[in-house]
Order: sequence, then structure tokens, then C-alpha cells
Amino acid sequence: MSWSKNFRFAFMPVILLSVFILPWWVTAILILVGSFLFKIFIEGVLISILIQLFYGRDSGPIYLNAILLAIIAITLIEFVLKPRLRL
Amino acid sequence: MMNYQSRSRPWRGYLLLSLIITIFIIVWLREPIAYGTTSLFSRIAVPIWRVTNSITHNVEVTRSQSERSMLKRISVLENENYVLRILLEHSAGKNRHLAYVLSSIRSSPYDTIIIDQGSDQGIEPGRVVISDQGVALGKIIEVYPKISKIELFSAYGKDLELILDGEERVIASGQGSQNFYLRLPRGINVTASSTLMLPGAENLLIANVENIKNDSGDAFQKVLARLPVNIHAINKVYVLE
Repeated sequence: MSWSKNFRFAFMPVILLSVFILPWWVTAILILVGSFLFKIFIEGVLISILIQLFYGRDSGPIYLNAILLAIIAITLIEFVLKPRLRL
Repeated sequence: MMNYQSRSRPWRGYLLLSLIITIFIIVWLREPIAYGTTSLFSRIAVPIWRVTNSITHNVEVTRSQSERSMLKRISVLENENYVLRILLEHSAGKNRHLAYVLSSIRSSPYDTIIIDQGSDQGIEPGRVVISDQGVALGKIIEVYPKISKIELFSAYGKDLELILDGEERVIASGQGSQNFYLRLPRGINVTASSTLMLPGAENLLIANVENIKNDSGDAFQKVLARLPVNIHAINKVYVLE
């Protein structure tokens, strides 16, 4: 297993713990950092599902859905920002 | 040709997949699946929250001697207050269910908190949650066997009918972070000492008016109100029955 894969593997528990004990914006930053560091950071979507399940509410505006925002952010970083930055 | 096109635009497939996942999650990850998944993950989350809370508590305990003695005194007064409250509530015929806050409000982007009481302890959705001081905080929106989710009244995008100074019925909209916004006709008398209460026999305090903006030429006055307690410092709440 390469260094990158090991790092990606170790990143998951950190981001998972952040959901429960750190402010939500730290988790959001970690998802964005993960999207830049790793190819198609699907773990970010999984984490956002967990955030939505634990903290989400139905009465809120749809544009504040964590899952939707994570998918949009990861897609934009992967297919718009990364090619332009040549990452 | 087809292969060339599909290879040159791989993002199209990913976008379609993302769209499908989003629709799937929004439409299907509702009641049954969400309930099962949250119950399952709460088995992992609850011990983490408990450990975090105990660490936070220990950090507080290892403060200076003067702070410790002050905390002890506060604790004694709190206990005495609690006993008196129980006696008062008992004579008033009201029941309050004590619950400890598990998750921090900082962890939630939606102004929701998790408490350590669930359906096993008789908690039901729709019940009002109040603080130690009797301030209405929110409502139970989801109940699991061991935990429950509370939506704060001040959650962003939530409209609520409240009573201003025990007289007028007004609509307040939650702005998040313990704040409310009201747009009232100029005819309604509001001062910086006005209070907002939850409709009902208990007259629970929900917010204090903090700021009033009166622009000349505007038929409405903009009122900003705020929860009188610091939600970040709350570690126990009461669920009204």
C-alpha cells in the first residue's frame, strides 16, 4: 500500500471523530482538504450523510443539506478546480 | 467516436452518479433507513460523546483552588435549587424529565442537539425542552431508543408564533445561533426590555428583545431578539411531559 493510500486510510477516523467532537466547520474544512488531497473523495459524502443523520432536520431549507453541499463541493473541486490548478 | 466522447468527458458520468446519489439520499434516506442507520451509529457516537464530556468536565475540575471552591459552592446551590424546583413542580403537578446534553451545539450545523434520553426512557417527539432556568430551548424532533434530537426554536429558517410581552401574538423567524428576527408593524409597542414567550399555559420565556431598528419611511420595525441563556454552556435540560 502506497503512502498516499495509507494517509487516506488514516484520514477517515480523524474526520469521523471530528463529526462528534469538533465544531462542524472543522469537519467541513477537513472534507474540502480531503477533496484536494485525494482523488474522488467519496468519504466526504459518507461523512456528510452521517452529519445529516445525526444533526439534520427536515424543516430547514433544502440548500443547507450537508449531503447536497458535500457532493457539489467535491464535484467542483475534482472536476473544475483540480484540473485548473493541475493537481 | 462514442468511446472518444465518453473518455474526454468523464465528469459527465460522475455528475450523473452524484445526481442519482443525491436524489436517492434525499428521497429514500428518510424514515426507516435513517432511523436504523442513526440507531446503529449512535452506539458508536454515545460513548465518544460521553468520553468527550467527561474530559471536558475533568479539565474544568483541574482549575485553580478558588475556582474549584466557587464551582463547589455553585454545585451545592444548584442541587438545592434542583430539589426546590422538584418540590415546586411536584406541587404544581408538572413533570419534567431530566436529560443530559451529549453533543455540542458547535458540532451541529443545523442548531440541533442530542440528549441522552430516548424512547426507552419514555421520550416522545414534539415535547418542549427547557433549560435549568425555565427558558424554552426547542422541541424533540426525532427519538431513538437511547438518544433524542432537539431542534432549537432559534434554528435558521424556522418560523414560530410567539407572544410579545404577554399581549401580542407575533411571528418570529429563527436566525440560528440563538437569535430571532421579527418584522412588526410600527403600531406594536416594543422596547429593549420586551420578552417573547411561547404560547401556552406555562408562559415559557423564549427570548429577550435586544435591538429595535426603526427606519423612517418604513412601515415596519425590525426587531432582533436573543435567547437569554448561553446554549453552549448548557449540559442538562428538562423535557416537559
